Amino acid sequence: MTLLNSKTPAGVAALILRVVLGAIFVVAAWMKLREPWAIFAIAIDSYQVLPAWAVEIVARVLPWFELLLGVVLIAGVWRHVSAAAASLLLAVFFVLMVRAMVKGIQIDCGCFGAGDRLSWITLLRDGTLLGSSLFVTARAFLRMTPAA
Amino acid sequence: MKLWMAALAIWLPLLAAPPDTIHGNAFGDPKAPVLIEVFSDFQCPGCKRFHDEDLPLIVRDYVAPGKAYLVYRYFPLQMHLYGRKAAELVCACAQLGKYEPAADILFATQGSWSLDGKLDEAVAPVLTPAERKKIPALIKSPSVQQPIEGDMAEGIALGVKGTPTVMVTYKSRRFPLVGEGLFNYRWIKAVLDDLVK
Repeated sequence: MTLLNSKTPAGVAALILRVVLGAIFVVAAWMKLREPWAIFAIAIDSYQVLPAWAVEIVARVLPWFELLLGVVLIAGVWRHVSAAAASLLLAVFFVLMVRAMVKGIQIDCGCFGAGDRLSWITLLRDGTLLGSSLFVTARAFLRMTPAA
Repeated sequence: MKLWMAALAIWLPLLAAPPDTIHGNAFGDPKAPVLIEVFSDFQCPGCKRFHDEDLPLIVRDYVAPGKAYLVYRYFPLQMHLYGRKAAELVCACAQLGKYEPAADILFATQGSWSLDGKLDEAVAPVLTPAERKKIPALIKSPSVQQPIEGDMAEGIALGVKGTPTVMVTYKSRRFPLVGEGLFNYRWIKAVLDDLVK
């Protein structure tokens, strides 16, 4: 039971990681929203996985979703849903980035607006974020289980 | 006081405007609100696709109406055996006022000269015999080498890693555009419309 307490080192780590992840989502959203939406569309289209109509929807909606997700993560409300959504989103990004790297596609990763080229560094960064998010998600769901 | 004068003598040339590297490779009104710089390599297939499919539409919709100023930047990649030679040849043609026909014909015949390196033959139809004689000397001259070196240095400073890279500048903000998404004119049009609305 004490392991699940937020005052434990693991609990403090989860709290810090959740706030940091939230802040990163807010920054990522802000970097995209301050640019013309089609710049993000070019980045998404370059992954060559979605038809043009879907690219436009994702390019217009995803930055707002990232902003909402970031705020919710920082605020600490709906922790299970927000942590799971962040993990799912980061997992999708990670898989797409690995796929693009394997295929040798030279593109912008689209993570933080224009000019963020896809590389092993961006992959490592996204992998670290995914790992952190999975940890926060696991902590959130473990807290839900009744104590033995 | 003497020290001040000496410092000024050293710094003033550095503060002066960089040498103009644009000669024939720019289109439209330099005072247009949007600057579009295309970092391109004549031997790159993606650059040919961008030149053939997107560029005419950009010129029609934004350059001709005075909304954008388009500059072609020479950015030959080391991986392309004849990229640098092609850039030098087109830049030499640009000194003779033949940038556009030379660029057009090199992109049109890219498939053949990329294999045999016969660039002179490829560009010959757009030059007069007198112009053809001037090309070798022009290629060795600073008027050709400096613009290419300047464009490459600018591209590297801006983080250009591949071609084509389109750098859109609006109100001092630069937006680098790269990747497969560039070949969908719908996105380029949406970006430019968003900026000049």
